[in-house]
This record gives sequence, structure tokens and C-alpha cells, in this order.
Amino acid sequence: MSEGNNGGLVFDQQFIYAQLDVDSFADAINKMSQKLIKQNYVVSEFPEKVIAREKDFPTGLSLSNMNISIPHTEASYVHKTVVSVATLKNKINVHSMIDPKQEIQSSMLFLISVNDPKGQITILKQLMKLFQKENLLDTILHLEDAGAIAQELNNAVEN
Amino acid sequence: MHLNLLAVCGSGTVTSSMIAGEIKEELEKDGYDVSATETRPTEVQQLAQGGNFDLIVYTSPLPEGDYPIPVLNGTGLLTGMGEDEFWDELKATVAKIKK
Repeated sequence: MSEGNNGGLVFDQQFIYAQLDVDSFADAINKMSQKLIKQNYVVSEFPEKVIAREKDFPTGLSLSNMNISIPHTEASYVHKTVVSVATLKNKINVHSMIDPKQEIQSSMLFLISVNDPKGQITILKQLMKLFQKENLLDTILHLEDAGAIAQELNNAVEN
Repeated sequence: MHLNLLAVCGSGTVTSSMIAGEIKEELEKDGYDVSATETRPTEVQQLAQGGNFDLIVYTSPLPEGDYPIPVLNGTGLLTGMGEDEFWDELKATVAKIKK
């Protein structure tokens, strides 16, 4: 994802993982962070910071038709804003944002790396609106191709 | 009327920015002018006691305690579930704030 001409949310296929095969939250974050680190979007400590933050402040969200996670960490670990998306082959155990003692199973991760949250409120708001689109999330959950997922997401972003 | 909103989430950055932006936009339609500050749960009590904020909206649980200003759960904005109820409660709360 990068900033479009109007500073809007755009999903980049290279940061989208369809049917990612992981056995835990940490595994997912490590896998999703590899390209981010390699291409200098984030610092090398980024994945460990995300994993650590998740322990204190979990990001599991219970939507009406599935559970997702929106892991992130402080902006200081991010060079360039991007949102990576993974649909998971097998659900992983995570904790709920609003009730951290509650364990839920997450089917999809939106790994949010933002280097200027206050300056990128538009992107964050657009992202937030996507979580509410049940049909969209259900559709992408079943897609096998990252390009197709990117297309669905980009079409759904409201300006 | 000007409102000072304290938005709270785990790291005081991403999630609180999300909901703060949304709340600002919605309340502006009703003629309110909203300034939002994002923070994390550990700093809420101190900031709330400071008297500079009119209300708190959180997505991560707050420490137990008495807060001198209204406290609302904003998770519905993220998930879309219970969102209408949140707006109703927010608007009712805001209407009662006298300055």
C-alpha cells in the first residue's frame, strides 16, 4: 500500500499474502515482515516490536462473520507507510482488543505500518471502513491469488 | 461548541487516530469543533484529571478507577457492530456537556 494521488489507501499486491500458511501470530508477523524489512519500509526490529505489543495490547477484532487482527506498533519503527494483508490457510489464536483475556481465532491479518498516524488519518479511516464490509472480507478470504485480493480491496476503498 | 476528545488505544497511535478522525468528522456535522489527542491507557488517568478534556473514547481497556469525565467504548467504530448505538450514546453524552 502506498499513498495515492489524493493521499488515499492503495493496496500493493506484493504485500498481500493469500492463504498464508502459518502456525501462530508470531509466525505470521515474521513472514509478512520479511519483504517490508528487505525493501526498507520498516526497521529490522519491526516484527519483534509488533509481536511484543500484541501481548500487551492485542488487536483481535470480532466482526460479525469472522475475526481479524490489525497488528501494528509505534511509528518510529516505520520508514514508509504500508498495509500488508494476509488471509490465513489456518486460523490462528489471538486475543481480543476489547477484552484481552478473551482468546479468539483470527482468519485475516492487516499488518499496519504507519510512519505518521496523525498525518495519515485518511488512510486509517479508509482502512477502518473496509473492516465493516462483510461481503468484501468474505470474498477475499476465499481468493487464492494476491493480485485478485489487491483488486478487490482497491475497488472497495472509499474516497 | 469546542470539544476536547481523548482517544485511547494500546499504543496511542494507530487505532486511536482511526476513531478520533471518524468522531471529529461526525460531530462536525452537528456543529461541534473537535480537537483530539491520542494516548495510551497508562496515561489516561493523569490526562483525565488534568481537566483539559471533555470526554474519553477507548478501544483498549482503561485502568480501573473513577474518571471525572464521560468514558465511551469506541470499538463499534472499528468493527461496525454496535456502531449506531455508539453514535447515539456519543451524541447524547456530548449534548450534556456544558461549558
